Amino acid sequence: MKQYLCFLCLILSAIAGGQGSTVRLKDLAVPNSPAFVLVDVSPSVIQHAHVPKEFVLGIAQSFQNSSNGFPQDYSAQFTPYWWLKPGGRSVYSLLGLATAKEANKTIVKGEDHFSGLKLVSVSVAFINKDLIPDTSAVNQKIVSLGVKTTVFKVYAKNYATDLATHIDDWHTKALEELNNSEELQAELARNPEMPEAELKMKLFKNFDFTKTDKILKRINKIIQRKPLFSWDIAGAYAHYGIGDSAWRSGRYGAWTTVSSFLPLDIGGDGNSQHYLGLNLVARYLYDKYQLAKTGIAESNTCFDIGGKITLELDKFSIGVEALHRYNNGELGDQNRTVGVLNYKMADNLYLRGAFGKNFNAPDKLIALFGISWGFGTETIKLEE
Amino acid sequence: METYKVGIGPQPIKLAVDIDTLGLAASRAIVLIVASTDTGKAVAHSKDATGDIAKKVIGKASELEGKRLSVFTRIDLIGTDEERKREAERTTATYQLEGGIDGNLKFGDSRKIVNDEFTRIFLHKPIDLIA
Repeated sequence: MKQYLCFLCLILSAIAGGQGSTVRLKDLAVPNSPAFVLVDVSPSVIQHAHVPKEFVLGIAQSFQNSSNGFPQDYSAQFTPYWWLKPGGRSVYSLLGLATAKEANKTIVKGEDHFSGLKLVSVSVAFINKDLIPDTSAVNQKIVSLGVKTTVFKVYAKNYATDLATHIDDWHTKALEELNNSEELQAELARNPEMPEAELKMKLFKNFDFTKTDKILKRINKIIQRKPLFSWDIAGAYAHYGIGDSAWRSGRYGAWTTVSSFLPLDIGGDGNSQHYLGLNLVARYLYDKYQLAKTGIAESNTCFDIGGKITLELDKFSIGVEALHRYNNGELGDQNRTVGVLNYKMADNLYLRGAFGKNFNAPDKLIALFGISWGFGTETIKLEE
Repeated sequence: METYKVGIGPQPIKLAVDIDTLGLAASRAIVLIVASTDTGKAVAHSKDATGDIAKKVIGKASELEGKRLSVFTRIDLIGTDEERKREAERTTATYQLEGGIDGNLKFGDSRKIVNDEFTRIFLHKPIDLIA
């Protein structure tokens, strides 16, 4: 029986996976690295430059190593704000909290709703790729530059105070744990060159993290709360080097995502995972060289707009999503309104169902049911 | 081992610590006699989860001369695996001493110990206070 179930899952997943060419709502959402998404690359090595010097050296090295005077697949991502104000980095700024100093102590004043604006993330890619669909298979030299930021974000009223209380509590308990390990600190002070393995053993196996671990779990739950409202934007531009001397504009794009999550646990502890969610996304892409139906490369503009309203009840969610695509100003062939059901069976394992209308497909009705899974556990992790 | 000349007079020696991290941090500073077996004397600690220690007098030069200053910081990182790994690489600290013969001196290069999951970091900086 188990074998039949596994076989059924595989078949259903294959069917679901077969919808690969369909534009999904999540494809329209603001990407973290717009410069890479614009030119369809997923670099395996990205330099995260912490200071300008690292960035300049990274580019200089890539130029040095190249054979044609253009860097070979160099990608970097950085936040210029930290270059200008490195001392401002703290857990408070990471979590978007507005703070002030009183008697040399950081006091949380509330949320900094516009904290994301200053933390604009810049992505840069220098790649060699053939993005012009012509008869020549010669790569172009491509420079792609992108920016992404959160314009505004607001959480429920308890978010900042809950975080402030727990962060304060964590610090108090962390000092207690440090005081309780005074013998370990004295041993390390006397023997600062202690071998790495021995030191790791002493610190991570013998140090008592019990008190702070409990608080970290609570902080983790608060961080996982969804914002009442958030607005993200991104933009990217790619310039192509064609041949030895010609440089031309290739692609550009803009993304925006507006989300709102209304918590449904009024009167609860504020950590419930029940939400009524509204998500609106829009994406504009211009490609100067796209293969047209005539078989030649022509410029193309593509505008996608979509939205989703979802009721999330812990592991179960039900919602309706709509997506419309406009190609060169005309309604495209990927327009649909569907109902979506999701049930989280385990980490990275979801039971999914979809039903509705695909307006432009020959067979207008959509009905999908399947299981999808993924590899990896990219979750917020706060404890060992 | 790095050193700082405090001198032998009654002048107050001040310490400041700046922890550059996006994690939750707490710091504790002690001075101790290396040849002894006691646990030393706590002279300063952070007041919030930045882990920073605002400029603070840790003792007179005559009391500190011949002892070792040890600043110990523990940090808990938050975020995804990739974010924590990146932050573990990026986390640094700067230590500043003033009031002694050496004047205002800044020290970096603390010893950083990170666990395999990139959830915890310990930073340790010893500085010998000499006459």
